[in-house]
Amino acid sequence: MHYLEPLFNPKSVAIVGASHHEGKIGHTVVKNIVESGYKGKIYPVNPKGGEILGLKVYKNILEIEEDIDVAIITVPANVAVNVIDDVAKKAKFIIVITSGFSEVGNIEGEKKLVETAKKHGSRILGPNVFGIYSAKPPINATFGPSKIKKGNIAVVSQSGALGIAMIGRASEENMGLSAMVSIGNKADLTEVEILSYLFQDEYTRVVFLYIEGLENGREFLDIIRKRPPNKSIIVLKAGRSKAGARAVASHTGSLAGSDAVFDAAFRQAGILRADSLEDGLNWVTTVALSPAPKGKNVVIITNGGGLGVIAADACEKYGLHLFDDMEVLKKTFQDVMPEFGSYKNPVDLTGQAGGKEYREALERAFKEDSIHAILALYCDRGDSIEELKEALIEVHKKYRNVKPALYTLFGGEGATSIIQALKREGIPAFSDVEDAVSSLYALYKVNERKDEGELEEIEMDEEKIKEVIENARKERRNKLLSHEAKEILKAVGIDVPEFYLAKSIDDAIEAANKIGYPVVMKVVSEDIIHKTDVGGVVLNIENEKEVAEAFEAIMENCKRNVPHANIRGIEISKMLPKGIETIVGSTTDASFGKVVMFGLGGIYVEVMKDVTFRVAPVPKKEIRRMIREIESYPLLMGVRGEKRKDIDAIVDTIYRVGLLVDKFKEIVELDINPLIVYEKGAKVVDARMVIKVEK
Amino acid sequence: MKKIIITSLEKRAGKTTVALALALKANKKFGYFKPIGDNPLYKEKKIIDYDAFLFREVFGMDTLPEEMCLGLHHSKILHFYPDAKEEFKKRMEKLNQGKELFIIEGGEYPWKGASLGLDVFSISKEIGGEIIFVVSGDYHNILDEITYISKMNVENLKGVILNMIDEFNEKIIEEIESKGVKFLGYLPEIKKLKAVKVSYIAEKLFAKVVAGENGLDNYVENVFIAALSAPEIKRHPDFKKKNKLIITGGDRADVITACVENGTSGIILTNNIVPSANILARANEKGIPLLSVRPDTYTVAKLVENIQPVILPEEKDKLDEIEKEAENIKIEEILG
Repeated sequence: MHYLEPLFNPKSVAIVGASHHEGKIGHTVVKNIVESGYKGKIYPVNPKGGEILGLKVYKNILEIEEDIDVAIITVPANVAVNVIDDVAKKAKFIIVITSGFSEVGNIEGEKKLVETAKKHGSRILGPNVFGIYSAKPPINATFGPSKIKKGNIAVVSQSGALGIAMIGRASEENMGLSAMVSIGNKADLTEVEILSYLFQDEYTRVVFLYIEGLENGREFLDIIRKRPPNKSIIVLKAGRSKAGARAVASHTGSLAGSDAVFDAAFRQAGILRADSLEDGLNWVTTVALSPAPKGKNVVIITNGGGLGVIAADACEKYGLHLFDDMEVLKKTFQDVMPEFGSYKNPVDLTGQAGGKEYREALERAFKEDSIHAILALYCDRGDSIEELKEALIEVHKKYRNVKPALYTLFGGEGATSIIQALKREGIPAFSDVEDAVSSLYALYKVNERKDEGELEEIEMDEEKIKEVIENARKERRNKLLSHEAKEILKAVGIDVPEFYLAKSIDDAIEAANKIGYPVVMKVVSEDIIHKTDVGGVVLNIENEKEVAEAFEAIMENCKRNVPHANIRGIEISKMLPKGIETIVGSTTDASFGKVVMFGLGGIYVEVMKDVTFRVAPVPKKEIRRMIREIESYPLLMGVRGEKRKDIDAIVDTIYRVGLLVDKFKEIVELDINPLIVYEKGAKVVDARMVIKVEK
Repeated sequence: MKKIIITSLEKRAGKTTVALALALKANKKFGYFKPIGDNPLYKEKKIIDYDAFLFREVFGMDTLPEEMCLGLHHSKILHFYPDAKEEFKKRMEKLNQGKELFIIEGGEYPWKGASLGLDVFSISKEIGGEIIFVVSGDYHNILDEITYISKMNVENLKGVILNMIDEFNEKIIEEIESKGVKFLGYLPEIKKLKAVKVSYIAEKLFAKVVAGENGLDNYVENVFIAALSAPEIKRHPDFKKKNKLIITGGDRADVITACVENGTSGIILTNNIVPSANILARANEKGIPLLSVRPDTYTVAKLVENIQPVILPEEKDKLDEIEKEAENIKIEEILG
């Protein structure tokens, strides 16, 4: 039995703060529990005692003899912190409906609730929630609408108000719910644990999750990845607006706005993300009501050519495949339509088609094995409404478990009445064709399982990495010098051209001779991030004299432009031939921890922000997908006579960076900028790293 | 051949200006040497001293700038010339061939290069050159420096030339000579010399010119940091000055627009932020260069403050002005 079973299927429930007065939350919760048909024991608790709705009211929870599965607290915050100890003594799970905690800055109060509950082995849902609905008992322990239809959709919401509104909407849309959980401030139980229950709950087929943030992103991704094949999830995450500017040392840090990382993480784990509430609700209803498609072939059946074209365009937009086997289409549909009809997909039954024609066409579509999904469209002619309604409902009900079919009816009252009738029968119906197509897309997406690939060990000189980090820490420096960053990259097997740190002209000449000309010379200082801006870089040095001149020039420039800078020396490295500049980076995200980034360098990253992210570490298979996401990807494949670049080398670099930052969590930020990619190989030109240093 | 060594107790006293004045006024075949450079110019993978480069360009000298300077950094000088003094002597022999006058400009301070035997006193001893101190500042500062010089017991001291004098008062001659130091003339403050081209500033700051390229030859005589709102800036008295360089954040669209519309020599946009395309277009129209730099406004202001105004070889008007004012220098006495 799942450890959250008593929360969703309690044998007894206490309401601490139960009210005698109608309209109060403490009264509504009791009323909803009673009216939901809950068969377990109900214990209202109120110091005034007496009776509420025929139930005995206990003056104190400790008066209740038995232990309780769920206690619901509705008393004000300042009272809640006083009663929590008694409540936790009696109840396994405590739903704190009360607000006025961390959402208004009362972090101490919230902490007390959790710690006190923990002391007694109890768990808290909330605070600041609207309660819980579960179809299993059934029990409606919320202060929202009382009537909730049973079904297979579970809604988990971080917003109380939105959750309550969704109950109303679910009723309107005839959506049946298996559970409705409000997670509120997530002081204790989070969405991850709730999902772990719902994914094994026999009543739940699809979960609709609304969140605003995640504290434990990795666990969240994992629990979704591991869900059983017959469970689906659609997520609506609010907060797409850009994160504020951050003073960070790396490109990666400045580009990794919170939502970009969320988006990437969801894509990485194959999580379907809704862009709007409307989409989310449409999708989740369709998924709940439809069988999974057995293949990719979609057929559009319409009585209006125009609407058919719009649907076809929408299918292309969402990447849905329109079935195009003419022989099968002809055989299936030709004799359902007049001569001037069209059996090509979209199948146009013509404007005169009514209930009879639709019944026949749909029957054939449902029976034809090579058709895997149906989009039926109707342009309201203003007549034959009843006949059509009857036809659609009868055919759909007969074949509802065979393949998905979605209906769009466009027009006036007639169309609206059919939509409402279809919805009452649990049939996906829409007034907008794009909503129908996007819902079909969602149905395909939620049933896909992604193979991200496997992680393999690499050789890593961990001692060397620790040594470099320790040296920087000893100097209380959180920014590694470029040669230090390069040492670390070399230690994980990334291709770093030979380099030396020279502290004098003689050193520089010796190094340049060892490396071989031409060389590049760059100032090394923790105080100089943008070396070119201060004249700290000289390229294409071809002999000893030029080395000496460049050494002097760099020192002079830095002395003048950054007089306070602590100059460690000048790095000498090989001048690399031209290739494609890319950037590989890593940053630490608040929700997901270590994240890797890739993009093409120069204006592609600085102006167009054409970058892509993944949660590290990332298997190579997934990295290939990641790289293909960037808009400028064709440049790597070779354009205008240019040869294809070494994508494997990029993949390998990103892979190693991911493993490095996963192993050494003290590396807070990392930039390889640029990583130059050639037809064969990829080489690091410059690197920056920021480490965590304890204060 | 007359050998003159020009030095000063403080940086930026105007040694190069005085050296130019002497060269222009003397009307003799002259040579120039600056053993230790202090104004770097990195060109064609060589670092040269700007003053050496200037002399070559202005006077059409045959000698290459790198021959007129051993280097700017001791480490480089020693790398190429382990015995720097020997190299100095060799160069002197070569450079003074056929010359009537030889001007040696010392480093930032009289003692610069002492560890290499290349400070002005060692050089003077070596070649028998006469030392002229360039002194600038207000009346009392000048007297302080000259008093100090008189106590230094400098061998081969020729005298002092005053530079950047606001209002010359003959009384000072007596004061100077009462200390046993010869007064050899003065140069007044030449305002033109403080003006710097926007292009020069752009180069010194490694700035990106994002608009108004055709205004890069504009001169800058004043600097204004636009840290106020646009209406307040327009009311500020410094904003009304001519030939000003504005420094402001690249995101201050209102301020940048106000400056572009009101006329200015150039605008530095800090924090690596570039304003919108319509502001750039307007700056292009008005010929006002917009220079984008990465550092913050405060850092950039300090960098701009540290930029030493230079004379560009093509700035004939500045050179003419120096030559005109060189009338105040006792050239006959110096050469005598």
